[in-house]
Amino acid sequence: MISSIDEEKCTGCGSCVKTCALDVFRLDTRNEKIAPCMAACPARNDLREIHYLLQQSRLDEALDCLKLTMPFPALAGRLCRRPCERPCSRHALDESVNIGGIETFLGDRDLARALSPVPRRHIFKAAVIGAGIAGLSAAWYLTKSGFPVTVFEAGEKAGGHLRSDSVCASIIDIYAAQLQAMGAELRLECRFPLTGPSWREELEDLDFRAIVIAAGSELKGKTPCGLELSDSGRIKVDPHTFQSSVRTVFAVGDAALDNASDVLSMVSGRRAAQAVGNILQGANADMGMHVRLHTVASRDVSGMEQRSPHPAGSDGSLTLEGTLEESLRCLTCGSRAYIAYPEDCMTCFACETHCPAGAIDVDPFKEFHPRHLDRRFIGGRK
Amino acid sequence: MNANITVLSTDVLIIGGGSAGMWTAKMARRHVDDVLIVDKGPLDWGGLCSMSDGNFIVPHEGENLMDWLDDIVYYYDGLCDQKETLATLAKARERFRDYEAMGHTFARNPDGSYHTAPQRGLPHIKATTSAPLGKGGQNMRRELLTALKALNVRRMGNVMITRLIKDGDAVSGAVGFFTRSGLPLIIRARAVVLATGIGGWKTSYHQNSISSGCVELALTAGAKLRSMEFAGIWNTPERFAWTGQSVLLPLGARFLNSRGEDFMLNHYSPIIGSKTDTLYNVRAMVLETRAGRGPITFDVSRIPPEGIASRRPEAGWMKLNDTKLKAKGIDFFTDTQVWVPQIQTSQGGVQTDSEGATCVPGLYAVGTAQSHLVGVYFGGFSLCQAATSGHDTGLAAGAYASSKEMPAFDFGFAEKCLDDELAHLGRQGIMPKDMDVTVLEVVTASDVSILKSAGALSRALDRITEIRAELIPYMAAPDSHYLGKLIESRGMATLTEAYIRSSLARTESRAGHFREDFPLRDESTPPYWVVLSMEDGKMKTHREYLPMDEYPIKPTRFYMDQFNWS
Repeated sequence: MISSIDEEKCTGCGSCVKTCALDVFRLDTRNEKIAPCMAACPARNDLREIHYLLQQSRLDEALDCLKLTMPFPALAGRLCRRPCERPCSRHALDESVNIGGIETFLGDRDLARALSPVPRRHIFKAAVIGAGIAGLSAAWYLTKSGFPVTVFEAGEKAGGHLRSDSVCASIIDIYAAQLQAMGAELRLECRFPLTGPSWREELEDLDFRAIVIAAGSELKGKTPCGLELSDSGRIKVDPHTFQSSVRTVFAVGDAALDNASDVLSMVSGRRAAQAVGNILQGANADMGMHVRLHTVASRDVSGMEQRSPHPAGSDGSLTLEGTLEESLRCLTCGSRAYIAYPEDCMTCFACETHCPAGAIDVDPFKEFHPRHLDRRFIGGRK
Repeated sequence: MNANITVLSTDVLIIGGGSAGMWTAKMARRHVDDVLIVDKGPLDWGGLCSMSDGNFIVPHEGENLMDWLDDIVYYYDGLCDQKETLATLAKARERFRDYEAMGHTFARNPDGSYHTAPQRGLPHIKATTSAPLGKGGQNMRRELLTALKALNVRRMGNVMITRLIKDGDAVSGAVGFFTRSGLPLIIRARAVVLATGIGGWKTSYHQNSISSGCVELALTAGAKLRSMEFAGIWNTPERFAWTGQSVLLPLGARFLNSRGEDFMLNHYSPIIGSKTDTLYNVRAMVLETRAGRGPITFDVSRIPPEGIASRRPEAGWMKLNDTKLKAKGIDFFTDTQVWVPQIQTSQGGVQTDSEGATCVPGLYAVGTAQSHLVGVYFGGFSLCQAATSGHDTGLAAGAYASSKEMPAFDFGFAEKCLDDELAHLGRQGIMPKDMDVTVLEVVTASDVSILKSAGALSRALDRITEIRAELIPYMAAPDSHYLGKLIESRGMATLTEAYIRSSLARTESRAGHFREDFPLRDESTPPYWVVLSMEDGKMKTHREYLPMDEYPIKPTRFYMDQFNWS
């Protein structure tokens, strides 16, 4: 029966999990060392954990894990330039995992979810000015945390510059509806005069204790009164918290960043939401927000078996079974395998012959099963 | 409907991704675009095919099919569906060529002819072996998988099907769950194919049987089972696995009793000794042990050194096995090992026509889920039969599906079936492993499965009925992994009841079925099948007589007659 796994040798590639017909193994994906894909992801999505959850067909848990760092995966899967796929360990073996395709599948599942109102946990309200993806991202995380949020949008619909793309526009509409279903207030065709002398007072009169400016590039060069500007003429912010020179005012997306990608805009919204949460509870904006230094897990793929990618549709999309198959190509770099169900081992040695790291030891003695001749029963003989 | 339920739809749903299921999928695609394979094991693991040596029963050019059929009729003691078997042998040639066209390598002799291995002392039947040794099954799996990917056959692993759903009489799909998440699943289908294997008792020789097969699926859907009184009984070293006894025996290995006697040659099998099906050797092992001449050992001392050198494992799991045993102080080739019988797989199966169709419209069975064997076996026949039946059943199921609209689907009933099954999750109760052992204890009694008798079978029936009524309902599944195991355990108990009832119904001895109270063939009737079905929630058996008038061979000689059990 299965005897042991050498933790020093195990690379966490999951060969045992993927080949054991009796389902004896599981992975522990927690590790200080992050996977190469995660190190390259601007949103720092926990791709190792997401893929491992999918390897177990735990679809909603995988989506929940992705949503911790990526508010709108249906957009990100389509818009992100996928820097994660370049360092994928599998690249050295056959082809990188189709991480973007997996994200798009989860995103489309996300769009189909019916969301119920989030219980209100906080009294103090936040305002978000601008309903592009940066502002919506901030609003999403604030709402998720139980803050009352109002989004002011000058246009007829949410989405900002992404409305020019019909697919993105329809996705944004769904996300905006979800945000409202969760309890956020979305005020359309409501231009907030940020450049006026008393815009902050007006917002404070409306009882907003924090303001996230996500009004896009149109503010460039037009300083909202009282805020410092960066060299390029945008609102100057702290790179971690996106807090402006005024404690209760934050700026995200193109309002603060030069050449912000769509993904970085969403990340800025997420981080600002966390910082707003901090100040609304009396803390410093950067409480718990310092980026931890990380090391990257090994990319050694020697001895690993090839698995060709699941063919994606013409639009790059993956089906349910395609997503599940593609997730199995992930080598979950930096994980550790463990013996989860030892009693189900039937001593076939498949795990040991498949393990590229030589980490698994199977004892050749088999389980004590009842045998014929009425003399060999469990516990009958040492 | 519960929003957690994943709903899929396909033309042909194939349950089981071994070689039979893969062949079925490959051929069903001729008629329909959408074919889905689900397997409760890992994605694309390939079932028992992947663990086999890739030996294949095929009569090559120049071989006379009737000679082969005659061997089989003789070996099966007349209990052979001759039309079906003859068709299988003829089609085996086509499937053999298909495998070669897919890139498979069969072993060749130095003169270029195919390398074959004789089987069970039979004059004609030979298995053609794959090359390289030990890789044949894995190669077949890969070749079939490549073909399926090119055809865009959909495949999902770690999915367990728990119930077939019907629209009126016809099958309309299935329900199940993902074994690693517990997420419920509904699959609508125009046709459903059982490619699960028929299952067995989860003991292991060198290959795994993760299977509890499809006994519950088939019976609850209204299909009939045939030949359930037959099981594959192997023998094996007591503590570890060793493959290759059928090669070692001709090299000089023998089974000895505690007095050092070659009991097969001396008494039970004076013509071929122990060079026969394991089933006959284990019968003698039981008789010797009962007479106080146990334990039985496997004696390798007469194998010449060059024979040992040729059989010392050089690769794969057997090499690991050999090395690790030596580290424990056990050398298979110098030490004498105690061997014991071990029941493995049921050899009965779902009753089908020649194209795999069951009596339930839209429901098919293929490979070892079909009923073909009668308790004795020759190497390479399962892979052959998986290919031939998979090919023909795939075409038939595909044609059926393409001629039908998607049947109406009873979502309410499907959801209730799922709720009932998933209700085990998170509960406290009896764990699957304990149930496996409890069921095994019933069937491994030597008077239940080797030298059967009415008294022992009746007692076993009482016990399995008690287990099913009073223990199974208290089983639990702390998580979805264990829910899969629970359903396998329960299936094993159901299979055991079918095995015992069918064994009681065959009141004679023939092929792999031996009754101490009926030690002879029943010559008063034509040969018959024991067919089992559910009536009013209870298993019932009846006899179906073989149409001997229609068969080319009228049996006059019987393999069983060369043994002496008195």
